[in-house]
Amino acid sequence: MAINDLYTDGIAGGWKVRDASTFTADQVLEADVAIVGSGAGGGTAAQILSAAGLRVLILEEGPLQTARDFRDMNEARAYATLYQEGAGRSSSDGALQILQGRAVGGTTTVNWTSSFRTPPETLKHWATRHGVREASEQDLAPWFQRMEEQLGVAPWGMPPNANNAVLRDGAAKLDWEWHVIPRNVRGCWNLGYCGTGCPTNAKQSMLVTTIPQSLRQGAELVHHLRVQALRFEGGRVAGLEARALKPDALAPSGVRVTVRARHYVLSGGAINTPALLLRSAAPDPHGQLGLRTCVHPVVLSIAEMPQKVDGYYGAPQSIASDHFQWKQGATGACGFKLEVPPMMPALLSTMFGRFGAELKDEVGHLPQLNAALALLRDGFVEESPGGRVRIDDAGEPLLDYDFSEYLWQGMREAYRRMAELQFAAGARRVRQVHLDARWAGNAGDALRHVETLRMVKFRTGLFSAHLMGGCAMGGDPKTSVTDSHGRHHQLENLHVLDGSLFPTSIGANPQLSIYGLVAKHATRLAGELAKG
Amino acid sequence: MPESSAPLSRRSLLKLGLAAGTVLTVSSLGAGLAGCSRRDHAAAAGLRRLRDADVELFRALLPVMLAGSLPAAAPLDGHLARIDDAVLRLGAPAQREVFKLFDLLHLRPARWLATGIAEPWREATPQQVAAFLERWRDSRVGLFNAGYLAFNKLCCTAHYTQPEGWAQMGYPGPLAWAYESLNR
Ligand SMILES: Cc1cc2nc3c(=O)[nH]c(=O)nc-3n(C[C@H](O)[C@H](O)[C@H](O)COP(=O)(O)OP(=O)(O)OC[C@H]3O[C@@H](n4cnc5c(N)ncnc54)[C@H](O)[C@@H]3O)c2cc1C
Ligand code: SF4
Repeated sequence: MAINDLYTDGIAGGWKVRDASTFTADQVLEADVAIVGSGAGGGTAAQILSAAGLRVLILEEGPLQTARDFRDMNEARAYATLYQEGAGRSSSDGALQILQGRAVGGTTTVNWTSSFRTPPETLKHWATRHGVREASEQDLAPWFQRMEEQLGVAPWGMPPNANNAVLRDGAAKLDWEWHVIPRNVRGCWNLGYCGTGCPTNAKQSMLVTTIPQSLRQGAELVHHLRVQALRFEGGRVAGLEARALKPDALAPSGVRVTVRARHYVLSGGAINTPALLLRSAAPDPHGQLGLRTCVHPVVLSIAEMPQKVDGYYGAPQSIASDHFQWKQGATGACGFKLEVPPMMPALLSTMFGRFGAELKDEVGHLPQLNAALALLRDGFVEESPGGRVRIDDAGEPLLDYDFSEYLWQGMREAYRRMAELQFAAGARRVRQVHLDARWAGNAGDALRHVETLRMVKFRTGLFSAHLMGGCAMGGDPKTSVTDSHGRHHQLENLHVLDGSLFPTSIGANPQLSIYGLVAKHATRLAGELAKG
Repeated sequence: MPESSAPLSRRSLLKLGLAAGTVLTVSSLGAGLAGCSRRDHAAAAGLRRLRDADVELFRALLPVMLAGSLPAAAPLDGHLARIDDAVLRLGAPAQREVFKLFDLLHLRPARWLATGIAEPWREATPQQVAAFLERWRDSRVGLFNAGYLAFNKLCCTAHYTQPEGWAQMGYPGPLAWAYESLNR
């Protein structure tokens, strides 16, 4: 069954989509609004601004890849073409492995479709601690509803795959809160390859929703184009300087593109948006740029089940537990959300930290393995300030991220709870993703073993797929980069509309938080631009 | 703590830092004097980032990291190409770190201090390489753990993204019915 990739027909029908790797001469592009990045924030903003009749230009450094390219359901191809740094991005010291997308659709092209509204506790914390206005549960409800409707968000209707069922069964046994995850899919084939790009267009990523809708509304998309710097004049953004990339989307081709617009929107995602501003020497009178970059540090626990799990097949995430999320409120001991990852073979092979015969033995059990993950809620207390984005001499981004005792304790607690959960669901043996870990055959042994783990960088397997913050919004310019509507405090014609706006982490997978908040901010901006 | 990591005390790490610093200065000086630094940094034939010396290093590491999973005397060219591609895609800051690590292991005194292997990589025995990997993995020094993990990840992804690796893991590949339906 051939899947319509949307873009072939769209481009034939007049969509303005250009591949900057084919540019042979320098050029100037003009628009009402130029948007840097085509992910969750950029896609949502583009649709709303173009619907308002504004001429929108979307600039994306990654390639345009569609369902047609995703039919192989292959990890190697996906990591190389759809992820930042070939999926090899990490914090500056290498201790935290970072997964982030880099293609038309941004990270939504490779994400796992879990769709949660921003927890009310988080919104309250933003209002009281960070002076964020007009972002209460009630303020945001209509915007979430609008995006949920557009993206087909609904609790997953099919039975969870066996990997997710471990989480459900364990939580049910222990009488922990658990719930079915709402997913942004339409006609999902339940394949499990969301992370390598959905081959059926079922995932309602930006690639198949807001970006095509923007193009229908006359927006223009230029991919293989990296925005290098903003230029300023008289306290305003006067233009963008961009470099066309070669077809492999790595090195610049030598062609330079200048972009002029009335208004500019940065949607390059956390890490890249603050880095772009730092590289441009944007005004930052209070040194806030790049601060409070949160990552939802993830630790994992692997279980061998008596039954076949085949955790690489089926909707990757369909069950979650918030049992330990708000136990002590937003600012008590570190809370975490429990989920499972899809058991993609190459990704899993790097989690054991073993080599030779031991490695061979560990990975050989893949069909019976379950993994649980805990997303820690960082950025809510002083001991967890998040990381800091900085740039090197050439302007390339680096993320410094340190882990305080507060986070290490949260992780150790997560290891304990995950082991309990997995044994309650019938696991034969359990081990942590940690260099000190060994298999434990029962919950008591596992709990004792977890106490012995040295909770330090590198020994602890640390991952992040949720990059947030770095251009925090807030009421006070002394402690934030944009106002509560995403407008840059010092640059009147500049908005930040992506995950880097968050003043803390979310405490749930962030995509719907970005869609809702950006829909609200972009609608307000569209109104202002229509007037002016 | 296994015995083998004992020499890697804080003191030996200090020594290692000093040695590495000295050796790096000397070698960059040497390269400057000879005016041929480009040559040393050129990628190996058919590759875009890994240099001949890096290839030699991975030819020693791969058979040990993936012992039991690689056929004896496997050519390794595919693995090397995938490692090369992974390094190529890293951002400039991460590439700098990776090459610092490789460079350290190419300089005899530093290599000897850090890994216990004085011989060039092509002469290192699998037992020596295994001892070095274990030592770095189990070390109390985070930097060595980091180096071990970097090698582990590069070697694992070079292997387990491939059908041979999948078969060893018991991964049957994408769902056959869907694959056929989508690729008809
Ligand atoms: C494997 C994985 C699974 C995930 N699963 C989920 C999930 O199930 N549910 C959920 O809620 N979240 C999930 N996420 C996270 C979620 O998808 C992201 O948080 C979200 O997409 C971030 O949106 P954004 O707009 O901030 O940036 P992105 O979506 O990352 O988009 C930014 C885009 O800007 C481009 N860009 C950056 N800088 C420049 C520049 N200078 N010039 C041109 N272009 C530039 C980038 O290439 C990228 O395409 C997942 C993430 C990963 C990696
Ligand atoms: S599970 Fe559904 S949404 Fe994910 S890749 Fe498969 S068909 Fe697409």
